[in-house]
Amino acid sequence: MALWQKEETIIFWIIVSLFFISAILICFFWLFYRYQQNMYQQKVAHLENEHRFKESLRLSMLESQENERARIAHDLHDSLNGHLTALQWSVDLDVERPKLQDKIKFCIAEVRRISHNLYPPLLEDTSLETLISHQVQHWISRYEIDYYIDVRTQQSISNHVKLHFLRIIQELFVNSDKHGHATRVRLHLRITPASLCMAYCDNGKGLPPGYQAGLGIKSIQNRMMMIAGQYKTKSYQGFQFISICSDNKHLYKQAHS
Amino acid sequence: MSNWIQWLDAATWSIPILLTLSLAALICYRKAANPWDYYVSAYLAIALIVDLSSRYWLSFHTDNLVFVQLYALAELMLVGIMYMRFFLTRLRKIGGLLLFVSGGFVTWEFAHHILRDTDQDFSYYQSYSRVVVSATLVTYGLMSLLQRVRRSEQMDHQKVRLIVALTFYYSLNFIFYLPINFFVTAHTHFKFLLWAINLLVTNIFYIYLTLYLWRFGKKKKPLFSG
Repeated sequence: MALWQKEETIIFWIIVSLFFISAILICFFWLFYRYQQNMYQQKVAHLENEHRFKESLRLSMLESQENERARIAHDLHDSLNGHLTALQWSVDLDVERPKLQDKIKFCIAEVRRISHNLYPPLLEDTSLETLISHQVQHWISRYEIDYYIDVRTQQSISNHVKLHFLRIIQELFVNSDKHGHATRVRLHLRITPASLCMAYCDNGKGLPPGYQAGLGIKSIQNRMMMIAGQYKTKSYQGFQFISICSDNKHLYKQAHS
Repeated sequence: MSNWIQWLDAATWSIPILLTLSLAALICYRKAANPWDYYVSAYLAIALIVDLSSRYWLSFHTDNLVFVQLYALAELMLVGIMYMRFFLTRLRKIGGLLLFVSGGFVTWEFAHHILRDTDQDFSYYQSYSRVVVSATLVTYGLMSLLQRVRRSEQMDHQKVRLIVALTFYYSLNFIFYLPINFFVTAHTHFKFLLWAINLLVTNIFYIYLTLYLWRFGKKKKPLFSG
């Protein structure tokens, strides 16, 4: 009689097998339970972080709104108000007509400048590349700009994406001047049916180690979030910013409508 | 039916063929990215050596059952040390004790088999070496998984996949090698069906290990978007 034919051997094997299978099952259920618990905790922590991030963005947006109001107030007070006061004195002093006309023309130009800064004119009818070209022209005296655009679609980009991209580029140009003291800027833009990609680099100081995002960067983050885009900043031999907006629902007018 | 058994016997050659091809491909085309990849590669190499040696041994002897304990000892040393070095972050002393006790048991059984079992009667042949080794390695696997789950940081999926595969394989090995006396002595065709299942599981396990090394054996390039 072989060993396996004996009753006690079979019982021993069955008991050992059952014990082993039960132990394995209990361990796996316990592991699964702990894993689910961990996942839940991680999710909660992630949501808390996201909430904190959105809160900080909301606060920075309010702060930037106040700053913008202060800037417009300064512009109106220091420039337009001064010129209009001078115009009133000129009228009181009976200054000759051509000089008055020059002053009025100057005031009109100031109003145009301020209003254009507030909201780009003809945003609806002007393409993003043209708007960015105007912005580049504005900064060409300050930087050596390598501007390259690659448009691979005829679809019109929706207005809010245009506006946010324009503001982001404005902010980047200002930052390169104000914080980076850059002399050269490279701005590449690619518009395809699927996405809108932008790469911006300068040769400035770059971001210091342990850099905390300021108002400008937070405003960029906020805008990228509003157009459902992704972005990445890198500090290597200057400052680099790469953004990708690939949400077709928001990117193009037809899709949006 | 005997024809079916002959086919099964021929099918056992799939293991050395698979292992040879796997090792050749891994040696020629892939570099190990993780330190434990060397252990996995060595495990495949030892499996091949033991398989071929046991076949060669059989041409001079009536049985090759001595390789059950030899292979169990090699598995325990290799996989056990891999767990101790790379996967077990806590309770290493208990792990070391377990390794020592299991190793001692397998060595004792191996010595007993060599010195005492001189007769050719297999009716009472029963080796628990692979059962003990499988239980030890399953315990290591569960301990490693539990330690990983308990930590709040993100899990290393490469490690977890390997640990789960090893745990699953050794759980089946435990069940399979417990009634080894039945597989050796029973005069029934049912045991050949079970041998065929074991052959299939072993093949799948080796293919998984090869694909694991193939897939993760080379460091990935960083993505453009980071």
